Amino acid sequence: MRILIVEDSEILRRNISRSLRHAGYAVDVAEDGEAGLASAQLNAYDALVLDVMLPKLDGLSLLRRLRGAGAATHVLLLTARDTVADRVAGLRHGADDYLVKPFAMEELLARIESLCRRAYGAKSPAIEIGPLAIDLSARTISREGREVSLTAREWRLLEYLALRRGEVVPRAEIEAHIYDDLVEPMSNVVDTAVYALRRKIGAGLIKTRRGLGYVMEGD
Amino acid sequence: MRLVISCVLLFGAAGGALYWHVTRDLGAEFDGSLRATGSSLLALIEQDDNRVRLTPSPGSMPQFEQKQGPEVFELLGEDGREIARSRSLGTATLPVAAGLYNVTLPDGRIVRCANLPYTVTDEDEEAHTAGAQPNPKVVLIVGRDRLPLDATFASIRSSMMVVGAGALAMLVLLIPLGVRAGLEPVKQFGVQVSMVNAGSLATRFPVVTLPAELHPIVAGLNALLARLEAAFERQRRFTATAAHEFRTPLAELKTVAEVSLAVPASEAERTQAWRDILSVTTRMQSLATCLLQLTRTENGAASLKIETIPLLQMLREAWGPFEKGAAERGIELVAEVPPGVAFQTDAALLRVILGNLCGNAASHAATGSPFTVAACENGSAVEVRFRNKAADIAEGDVEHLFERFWRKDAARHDNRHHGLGLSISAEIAKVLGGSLLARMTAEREIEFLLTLPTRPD
Repeated sequence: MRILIVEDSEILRRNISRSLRHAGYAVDVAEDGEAGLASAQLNAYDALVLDVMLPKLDGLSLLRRLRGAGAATHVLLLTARDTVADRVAGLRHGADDYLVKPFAMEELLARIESLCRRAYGAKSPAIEIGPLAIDLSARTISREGREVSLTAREWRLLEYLALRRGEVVPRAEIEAHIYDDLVEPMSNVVDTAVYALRRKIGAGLIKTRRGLGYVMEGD
Repeated sequence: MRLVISCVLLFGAAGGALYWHVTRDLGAEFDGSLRATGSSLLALIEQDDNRVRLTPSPGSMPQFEQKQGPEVFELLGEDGREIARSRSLGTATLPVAAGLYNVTLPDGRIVRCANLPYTVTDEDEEAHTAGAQPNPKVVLIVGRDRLPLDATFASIRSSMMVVGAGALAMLVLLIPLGVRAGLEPVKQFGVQVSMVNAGSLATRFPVVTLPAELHPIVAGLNALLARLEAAFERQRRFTATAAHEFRTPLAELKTVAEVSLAVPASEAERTQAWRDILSVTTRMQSLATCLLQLTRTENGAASLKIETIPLLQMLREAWGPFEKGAAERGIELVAEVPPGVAFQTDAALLRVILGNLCGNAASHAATGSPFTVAACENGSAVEVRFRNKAADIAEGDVEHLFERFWRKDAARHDNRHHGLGLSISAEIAKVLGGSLLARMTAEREIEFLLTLPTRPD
């Protein structure tokens, strides 16, 4: 999953992105509202973590513009404002969730995970595809009861395809959701990653649709 | 109770005074009448063959003729020898004393006596030829039974006591009732006042339902509640805003700690985490210091240490820490301060004001623009104008400049800019007996006008 963090505090920005990357997310950052809006319009993110008090363009204005342009990206507002009026204003501007500073990182991670699941209509963190049992919360995968160990990038790829199982996902989309701005993706990196994942979870679960992309199915 | 005792004492004093006046007047009338009777008797004294006689015609003065009659008299010669006496006197004698006096006769009667000395004149003119004897002098003691007078006094006394006691009894009953009834609205008012607490400072008491004498008190109390409500609201807003300001640094500290515990880190990442903690705690310390300074200044807790301070010298000292950074942005201090301009004020507090204004100019003035400080004396005060080109302040922002925690860029987080500097400076200016105001000039410059007295009041 690819997450955008828009937060002007360098300390928060750095540590939240570090924690999310450790949890297996691809993370992009922006330090002000204008940069955040530009990134959100340019890339397809699974969720936005958006501070309200931002320089240049405040978080609520950014959100209003995103929603006005038809973007359905899930947004979690991160702010020091904790009154009912503030929460109501944030939610009415189009936010999907609201977290007050200071917060527990564990809670932030859980809320982002929930938003990402919702992005693909998944209510439950547990997914079964053929012989695979995938737990999105625990970030574990087992095949016929045997646990399979994946790298962070392999997990991101599996998670993304599993949430969109049955759909043909274009290569470019996979690339956009798996890699963050820190990595300069090469043209066949997605193919390489799919190849490596197939070797671990077994052939036949990720099918290639030539010229279109990949689809994950249990049949 | 005090009111009742006071009324009793008042009634007693008034009654006593009245009784004294009445008895005095009655006594004076009694004495006047006695003297008149004596004068009548004196008119009956005659001298015949060198003998003085007092012989009222029978029946002319019956009060002297009956035994133990109401009036008595005794006429004495110059040598004290009795010349005449009234039948009513019986065998008693009247002592001789001056003026008016009381005598108790052997039969128990108390008699008021008047001593009337008299020189007998001879109606026959031939007795006044040369060689005649001088006119004899006599003393007439005339007396009247005091019993009727004393009875009158007693009657007056008893009547006054009965009426007075009755009136006092009524007062003792009515005064507490009246006071209680009159004070009932005050008592209700007291109950309402006692129910006012920190959460109900919006309460205002209606004036019209209370006695007119309490209107000024109620009006004063309502004004006090309004001031308290405003003060509590300011404190609540300040506390909420201050707590809000601490949320982000606390979130940063917490995040650094949690990530450091949960995510494996390289040596460089661990070092960065400690730097982050130091940076955040430094910012929190700066914020806490500003808040304390603001609170102390508002509460007047800062005790002033007055000394003579040359403005130009202190201005240069205040600009010193910002000079290098400002120079990098092309901002230069232009001081138009006459060397003789000085204040007698608290140096430490004045330094805070100058530091804040210099810091603001160094950080927010338009690049390449001058920071001009001009001072001039105006009577017993000095006006100092701090002017610089406004880089990002609009006309509508000027009214917010002194609001606490207000920043043009509301999201800026750094160690110096908490949005409290100007608020603190304005409060300090008030403590020093002056003011700090701001305006936007026609040339789009932001100008701060600091007015301070040259001497403390």
